[in-house]
Amino acid sequence: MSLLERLDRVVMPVAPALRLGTLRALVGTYGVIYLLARLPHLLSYALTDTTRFVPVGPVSLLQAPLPPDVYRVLVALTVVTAMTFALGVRHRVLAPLHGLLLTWVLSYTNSWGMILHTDNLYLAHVLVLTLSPAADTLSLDARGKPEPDPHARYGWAPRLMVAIAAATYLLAGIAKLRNGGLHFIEGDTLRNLVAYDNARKIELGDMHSPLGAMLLDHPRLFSAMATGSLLLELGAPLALVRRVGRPWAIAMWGFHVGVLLLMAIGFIYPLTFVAFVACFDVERLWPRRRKRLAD
Amino acid sequence: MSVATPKERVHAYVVSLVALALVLSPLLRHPDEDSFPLSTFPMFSHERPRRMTVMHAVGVDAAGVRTPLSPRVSAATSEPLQSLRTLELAVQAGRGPALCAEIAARVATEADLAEAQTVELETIAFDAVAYFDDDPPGPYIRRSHARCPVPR
Repeated sequence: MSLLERLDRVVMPVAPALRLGTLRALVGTYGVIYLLARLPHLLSYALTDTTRFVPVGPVSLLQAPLPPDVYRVLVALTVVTAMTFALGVRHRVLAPLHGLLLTWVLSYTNSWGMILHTDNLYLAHVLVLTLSPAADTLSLDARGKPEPDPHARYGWAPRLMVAIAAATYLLAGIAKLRNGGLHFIEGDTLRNLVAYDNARKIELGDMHSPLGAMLLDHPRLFSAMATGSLLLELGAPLALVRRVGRPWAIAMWGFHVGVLLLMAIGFIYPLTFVAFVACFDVERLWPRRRKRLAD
Repeated sequence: MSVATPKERVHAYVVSLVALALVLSPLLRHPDEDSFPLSTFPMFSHERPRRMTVMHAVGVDAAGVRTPLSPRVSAATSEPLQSLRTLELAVQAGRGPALCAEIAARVATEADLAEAQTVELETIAFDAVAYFDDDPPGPYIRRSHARCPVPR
């Protein structure tokens, strides 16, 4: 086997089209529900207050906020193209358009002085899927067409989705080491963070976590949780090894459940587990289609 | 035939390399130079002292009881951190009194804040862990930035 063939097996392994199609359907369905649920939040950024405008990412091209009506139209187009993306309609044209719109709208909502970290991975996964042949099956585009054979062209995007998820968690782990060093694993930082975040929530009139407040009397527990979370983050690249990726995904999901319980911070995309589905053979969700393919 | 064509291979490799390079590019920045969508993911990374300060908006009733106002009332947003930032930016820009009046107008329409007579923008400092004690000490510091009546 040549070096290129070996590299191909890592970067773009042969995979069923149904795996990629299912990933598009899952991430796309998450997107439609999420964007609709967050519509009031998204629309709350139809603002003209230049003193609050701190553009980030592609929005840095702007000197001032967009006219509110223009922004509202972009949000509406983002929601509509999220639907076409989920259904697999005119994927080659509309999916990249959705990727651009989603990038713009989410960057815009983060351009008002506070950067949130809840949408980065969702956006990255959408962008990967929009640039891949993710609507060759399980889509309106593929209606009446035979199920494609497994192929390398369907393998690179799921691998890249796992790699990007791993990279984001690795970055979070590295940021902890760069900002606080190994002191993080002593647990004081995490304990103070949980206290700080919950107290701040109360003082900002928001919901807090009574469980997090209750556990503050158990400092050793925070040391164990800090060590575990840092190991999961720094060890994230191992998720690219398929057998490791699955337990890592489940553990990472558990980490987010812990954050929700202790700090009332909901990272919705990982909490729904959609962020981790690329670690699994998701085509198994459709046993009948798989059987037809095998026949 | 499951082998990729040269065009498919170039597409897959270029997209994969560019995407990973972009996602990892924040490593070249200081961890606090955050952005979106390419983030350094600095959340939870800083050492936190127990002593914390927070700026917030409170409704004050006739007995002097202070009720923190929700992000929806204080900044017309559902995000608490966004509301915090809105308050900080307004006070820094000298627009505290104007924002206070805006908030007071929203308080006047809230049935569950009917007791509030004034709105105050303030910064408080306290021990975050002791905050959850059975008998918590009060704030070390309470600094008022703006105070305004609720129009009834």
